[in-house]
Amino acid sequence: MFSRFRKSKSSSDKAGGSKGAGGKRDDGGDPSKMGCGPSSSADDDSEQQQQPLQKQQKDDGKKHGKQKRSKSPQTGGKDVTDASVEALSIKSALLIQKWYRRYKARLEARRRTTWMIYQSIEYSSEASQLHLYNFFSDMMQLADGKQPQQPQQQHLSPAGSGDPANNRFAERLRQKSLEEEDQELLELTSYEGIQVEKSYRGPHLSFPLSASHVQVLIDSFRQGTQLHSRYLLQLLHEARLLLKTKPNVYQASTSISRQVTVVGDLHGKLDDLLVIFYKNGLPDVTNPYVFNGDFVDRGANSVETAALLFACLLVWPSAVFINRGNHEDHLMNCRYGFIKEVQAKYKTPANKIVRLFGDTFSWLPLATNIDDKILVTHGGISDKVDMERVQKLDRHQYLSALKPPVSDNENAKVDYKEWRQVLDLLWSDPKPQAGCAPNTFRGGGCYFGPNITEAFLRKHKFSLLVRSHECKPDGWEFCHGGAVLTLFSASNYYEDGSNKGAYAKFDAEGKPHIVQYMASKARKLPVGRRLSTVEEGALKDLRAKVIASKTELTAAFQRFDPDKTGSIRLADWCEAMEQTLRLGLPWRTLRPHLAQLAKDGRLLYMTSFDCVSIQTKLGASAGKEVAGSLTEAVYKNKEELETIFRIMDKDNSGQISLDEFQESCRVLTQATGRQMTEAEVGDMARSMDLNSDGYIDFNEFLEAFRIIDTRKRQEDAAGAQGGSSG
Amino acid sequence: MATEEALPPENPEDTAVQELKKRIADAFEIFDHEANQTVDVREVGTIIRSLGCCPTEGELHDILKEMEEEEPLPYVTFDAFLGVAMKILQEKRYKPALEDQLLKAFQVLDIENNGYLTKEEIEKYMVEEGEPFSTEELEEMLSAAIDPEKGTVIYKEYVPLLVVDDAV
Repeated sequence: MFSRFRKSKSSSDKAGGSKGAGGKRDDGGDPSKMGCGPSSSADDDSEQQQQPLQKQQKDDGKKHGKQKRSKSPQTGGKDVTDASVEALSIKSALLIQKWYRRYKARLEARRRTTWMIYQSIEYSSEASQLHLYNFFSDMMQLADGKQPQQPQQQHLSPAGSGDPANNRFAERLRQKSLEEEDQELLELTSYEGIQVEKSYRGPHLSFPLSASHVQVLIDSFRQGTQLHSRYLLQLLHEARLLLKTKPNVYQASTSISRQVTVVGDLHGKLDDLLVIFYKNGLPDVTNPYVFNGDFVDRGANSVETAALLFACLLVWPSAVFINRGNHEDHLMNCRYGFIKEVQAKYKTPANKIVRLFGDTFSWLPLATNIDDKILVTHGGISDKVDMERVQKLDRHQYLSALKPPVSDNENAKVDYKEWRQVLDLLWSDPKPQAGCAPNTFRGGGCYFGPNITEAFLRKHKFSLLVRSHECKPDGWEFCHGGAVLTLFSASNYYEDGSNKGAYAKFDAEGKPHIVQYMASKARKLPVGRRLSTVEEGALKDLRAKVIASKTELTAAFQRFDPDKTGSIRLADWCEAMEQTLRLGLPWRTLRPHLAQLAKDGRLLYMTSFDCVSIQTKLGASAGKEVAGSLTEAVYKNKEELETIFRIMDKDNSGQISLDEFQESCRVLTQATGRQMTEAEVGDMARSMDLNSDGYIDFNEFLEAFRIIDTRKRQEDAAGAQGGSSG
Repeated sequence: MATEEALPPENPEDTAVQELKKRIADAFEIFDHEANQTVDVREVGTIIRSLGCCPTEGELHDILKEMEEEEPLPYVTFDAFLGVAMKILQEKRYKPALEDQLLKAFQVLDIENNGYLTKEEIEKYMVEEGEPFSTEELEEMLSAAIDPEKGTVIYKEYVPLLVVDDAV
């Protein structure tokens, strides 16, 4: 194992090329040549190189293993010295390996912790979303003079029922949940009157669409060109008509194609869809695709992603199957960015587009059955899901799957059991433990255990359940002993480099071949550096959560500090963090990133708020500062507030009146039980910039509340220095 | 983890023990995917190492043996893990060597005293000497260790990366 000399002959040739000081390599073996080594090397570092070489010469006679070994071959191989040299080099390799594995393990722990942060924050936001819907449905019941159907949901004070403002809000909510007559929708969303301007440089479509149009769309979307509202509306109308003819569960067969590709969540990440088409080819009778929902919201290109999928559906109707996901839902789109994106891209026709997308989504089938072997659905199943029942229900009623359909007809009964079928298919997650439990973490659907999966597959004679809905580090994951496959196709979902995307190709026997990818430069970075970016993103989100609950947290910390010393035990800090934020995170591990310790090891709890602060740009013009507690309340409920604003915004213009604004805040106060006084809300409303007709741009309003990093950039500068050399 | 502490212990030594327990519980929890107080036996090494210990694979094998209850199982329970991990950390077993020893290890392998090792040298030492080292591990190690400009491992720069204590 005397590695250096075993390879010295073969490696000395190439060493000359790859190493600047190649000449010295052999010199080391022959001290007599020592002098010419440095002089023959024209390297800048030859000066420094000289030092160790001379030292080596000096040390040569000594019993220093490292130098000794360079001599041994020529002196005929002294076995004893060889052995000790070898032992030393093994020991060194071992030490490096140990350290390396410790380093790797720490990275892995950081990676998992980062993942936990992203997931808890994502799901806690979805849970509050469902709370909001429970509140909405209670409110509608009350507006109708009925008792809430779910008496356990006590968000609303009874006083709210008589409030005319609430009735108006309920009315808004109802309007959107009404099943619209085809004719009415067609008129409202007509594209006939929209002219394509001569200056329009984007793609032109003519119907019926052909494969060449799909290519044109891909090429122009890749360059960031936008599709004209007229074409987009026309495309949606055509897709809607086609989807209306589909059953609730598609039947897909591999008898001709011998294979089928399943794609999971894309979330407006057009790059991922383009990578898939590039790697796997465009759809075709011989290359069918199942898109398993959630292609909109969150990402920046939801419009383009949806348009491209619908275009594929029209061109290859027998080879493209688009399942509905929990984000193909008007109310989810209010909150998670899709409507905002449409408004930003389409201005005036935005209302038409939003309405038509909402209706088209409600026509999407709920699952795809491949060869009677594989069931593909977005979330999963529950002990209640029954495919016969699913096949019979009226899917179009569920403009939002989060709300039971409410009818104007007094006698019409809301079918909660039917609604559960839809909710469970779109929202459920598998869990490792047996049984079926409501998904309290996410807010909707169920957690289903391996026994639920087994019973379901057996009953319907399926061999595999393919679902999406959850981001996985590798883009895919089997669970329930291989009976459930999760596929997630949006790479870099939480942050650049956070996760891979994957799709699966099933052959005619139903065997999956999984393909992974990452649609960004992040994959080229070394693991450690990539992790740092992802981790920093997660910590940023977490710090935002912390600062948004500053008042509550401070009170919780102070309960452990009756003498107001400013410091508490680490254990108390962890407890206060978890009890207030309820994110289920390893706070002890995260502490170094969130708060500082005093010299005595106690925790200086106010440093928990040091890194960031909520800043508001409001009130600057009116010369009035928004109260800190109010800023916190608005920031904390930003997403809920946005949802309420969008429901208030009847024409999807992104603007609401002052009255509607105040009403929204009242609704929020009632929905969440969080305090905002009338006076405060009034102050805030008046301090805002109004446009000429007295309307409030609520996108601008919400964006005024933002988290800013207040740390000194010193560490970053130091980090960059270290990073550039590594 | 449930908050089981009823009364805050006054003895500072007790407090330290409690803190250590919680630290171990936190590290364990990150890998307890099923939230049922167990982890995959293959992840025990990662947890032990993420707690700052520096065992070899051979030593890790001994640790696993120590955690075994009656017969080898594909998972380790929290109770079994906690007992052994407490002992290891309290006795400061597998304590990492000092940074300069790691640097010395690299210097031993750097026969010409160049200040760097080539990709081939690292590969040779890691795969042929020490404990078994997988191709995957090697590739990951190299991806972070190789200086992109020079194409070699400048270990004076690499060592601080390995020993960085991210808990500070």
